[in-house]
This record gives sequence, structure tokens and C-alpha cells, in this order.
Amino acid sequence: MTGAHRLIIGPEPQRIDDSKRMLIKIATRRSEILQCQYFIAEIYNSAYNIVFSSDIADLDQAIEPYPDRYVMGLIDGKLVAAAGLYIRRTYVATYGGITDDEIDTKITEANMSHRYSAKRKREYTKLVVRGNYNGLGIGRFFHAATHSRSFLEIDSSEPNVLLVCAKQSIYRSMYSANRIQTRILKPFPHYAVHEKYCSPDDPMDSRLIIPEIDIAPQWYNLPLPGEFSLQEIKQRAAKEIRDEPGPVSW
Amino acid sequence: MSQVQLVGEWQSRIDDSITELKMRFVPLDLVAHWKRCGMVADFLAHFLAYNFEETSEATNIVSTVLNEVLENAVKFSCDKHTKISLTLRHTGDFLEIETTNVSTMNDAQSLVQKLTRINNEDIEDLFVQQLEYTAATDSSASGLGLISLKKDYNASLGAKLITLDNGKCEIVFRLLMATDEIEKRIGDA
Repeated sequence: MTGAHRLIIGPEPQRIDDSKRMLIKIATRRSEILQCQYFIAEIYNSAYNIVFSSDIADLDQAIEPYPDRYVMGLIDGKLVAAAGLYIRRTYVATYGGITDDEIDTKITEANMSHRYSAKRKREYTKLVVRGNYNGLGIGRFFHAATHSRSFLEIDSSEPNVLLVCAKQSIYRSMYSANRIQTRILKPFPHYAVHEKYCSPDDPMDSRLIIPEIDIAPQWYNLPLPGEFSLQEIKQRAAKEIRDEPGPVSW
Repeated sequence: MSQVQLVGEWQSRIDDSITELKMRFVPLDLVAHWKRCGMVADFLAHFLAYNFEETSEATNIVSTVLNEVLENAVKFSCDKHTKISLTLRHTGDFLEIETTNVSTMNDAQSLVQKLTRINNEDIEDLFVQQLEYTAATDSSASGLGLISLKKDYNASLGAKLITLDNGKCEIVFRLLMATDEIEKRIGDA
């Protein structure tokens, strides 16, 4: 299914000791990468009947490609959140029909062609949160924190633009709320495999993020690995619920 | 107390198999790398194919059937950590493939309905109806798998459903094919 990342809504949130901390780190060891892959596969399969493959992908058969890099969120050593990054073949280009010319046009419109090029692009994808850790603000915080250059620029010496594909409600509830600007490229084509994810009222589209100007510096410059207090994460989530997220207006 | 329900053509014709293989899997391993379903089906089919004269064609047919049955067992496992099993038995005259998995009651009842239709309706009509339904609903799941096994290989399909105390259902699915059908398909190829 989709390269679109989404927060899976699961069972009721569990009670978590506020004094605990979440460690956010990039998966580097083979065991960490496997943990992330199986975690993502389990949640996507449960929610959308999707399966995964590292060498064949076929949206018509609901077989999704794995990301190339992973970032993980751990509480007491337990994996509670993960996300991926396509650094070779992006979903938006492969399945969304977005061309380098379209990306370069957006970069030029933003007067950033001296720093960025469609030749260097990545895609943030497959954000998942363990079911009973939903509703605590962990997902939104993890989403923001993993827009750190430590993750987005992994294995790269030059800046990369970031692609993303999601339904519109995710852009409002996650990106706008986290002060990450997104620039609309075009609607994502229809695939039957997305039928449980999006709807005519909440369609998917492909967007571009130019990290240096679109991601709030507090997130883009956040060093990873890092440990974050759950109490602060929950307080931040509570505050954001009161704030009205800005419209996605690109 | 567990309740047991038999559906479709459940009877086994395997008293004493010549060849028998049983494998257990964690469904999540297959969900995480879907190609493993095909690899397992190919491996078992290659293993069994030596019992046939035309090993290459037999491999293709048996692999196709095994893949369909294994994929269903994985798809309809409600907890992807609870192990499933796949058993292959061959007597020379019959090939029997059996899977065991735990599913939701809804999925179990869907299987009951599907097997009831497969065993009671004209299979060609049912195939066309399902094709039309899939096209109309634009679904990513065709629902043609089991129907095709009956239609293309004249396979007997049955299941034993055991209601578990936790409200889930253990499904033992059984497919029986006469090896004559395989030989006939090889002859047609």
C-alpha cells in the first residue's frame, strides 16, 4: 500500500509513568532494522491488510516496499514508534508520478535552487505508533523530532529535499501542528490498496518539504539520538490540542 | 467448551502417506517479507515433484496451489505472532494440503460462506460472479483464490472450525486433489 505515512489509531492509551523517557535513535544494527521492519509490517497489515517486501513491490497486490533507513522510539527499551526514509527510490516518484521537473519547479519557486535539487530527494514514510501508546502525544512528538537533520540527512553530505505522501487530514493534524510546511505537488493517483486509508473526503496528495525553510529549526536542528521526558511530551500534546493548527496553504 | 464445525468436503482420503512434510511459521515473518510465501511453496513443490514423472510441470501446479493456501492462512491469522502450520501429504493417488491458523470469528464465518458456495454452486458461474464483484468494488483482494483451486484443479475444499475460549476460531483448512488432476494438467500443458 502506501508510502504514505500515517499514525495508526489503536486501543485505549495505557497508563505510562510520566517520569519515563523516550529514546529516539536511528536504527543502525541489523536487529534494530529488523525490529522496525516487523513492527511496521505488523501494524500496516493489521490496519490495512498490507504486506511488505524488500525486493518486489506491487500496489495492486497490496505489497509495499520497505524504507531504506529507520528511526525508532523506545520506552524502557521497548519499541513504541518507528518511521522510515526512502533514500533511493521514492514512493512519490515511483507510484505518485511526480517528476524531477515538478520538484525542481517548486524548489525554484521557493528561491532555493542554490541549495536543493530534485536529484537529491528523500521521502519520509511509514510512521507507526504501538497501539496502546496512542493518544499520549507520542506520535506527534516523534513525527516532529524525527524531522531532525540527523535522520533526514543520514548518509548524505549535501542537503536533500523531502517528499511525503499522505491524506490531507494528516497534513493538518501532524505537519501543520508540528510547524512543518508542506508544498503540494499533485494529487496521488488512485490505487485500490489505499481504500482503507483515504477517502474522497480525505484524499491523498504528494507534497514537497524544503527542510531548511520548511521545518521548524527546533526540530530540524534537534540532535539524535536524544532522550525526551514523557511528561514534557504529554504537556506539549495537551497544549497543541488547545492551539488551532494552521491551514495547509501551499 | 470448544465447539467444532465441519464445512465443505472435510473427509481425508489419506490413510498412510508416502510423503509427508509439516512446517510451522510465525505469520508475521511472511507478512514482513511476502515473497517468503512463494519461496516456501516453491520449496515444497520441488520436494514433492520427484513423485511425478514430469517434475517441472508438477512443481508449477503444486506451487501455485500451496502458495494460495499458505497465503490465506497468513492473511486470516488474527494474531500474526501465533504460529500457523502447513502440512503436505501425498499417497501417490492423492495430494492433501492442510493449514492451521487462528482467525477472528468474522473471518471464520466468511470462510464458511465461501466454502458453502464453492461446494454447492456451479463453480464456473461462481467464478464469473466473483470476477464481476471484484471489478465493481475495485477491491485489492480478488477473492478468486479458493474458487480457482476448485475450478482449475477440481480440488476438494473443506475446513474444521474450532471455537476457542478467547472468542477466536482455530481453522484447519484442508485441500485434497487427485494426482490424476495434476497429471491431466501436465498433459494439457
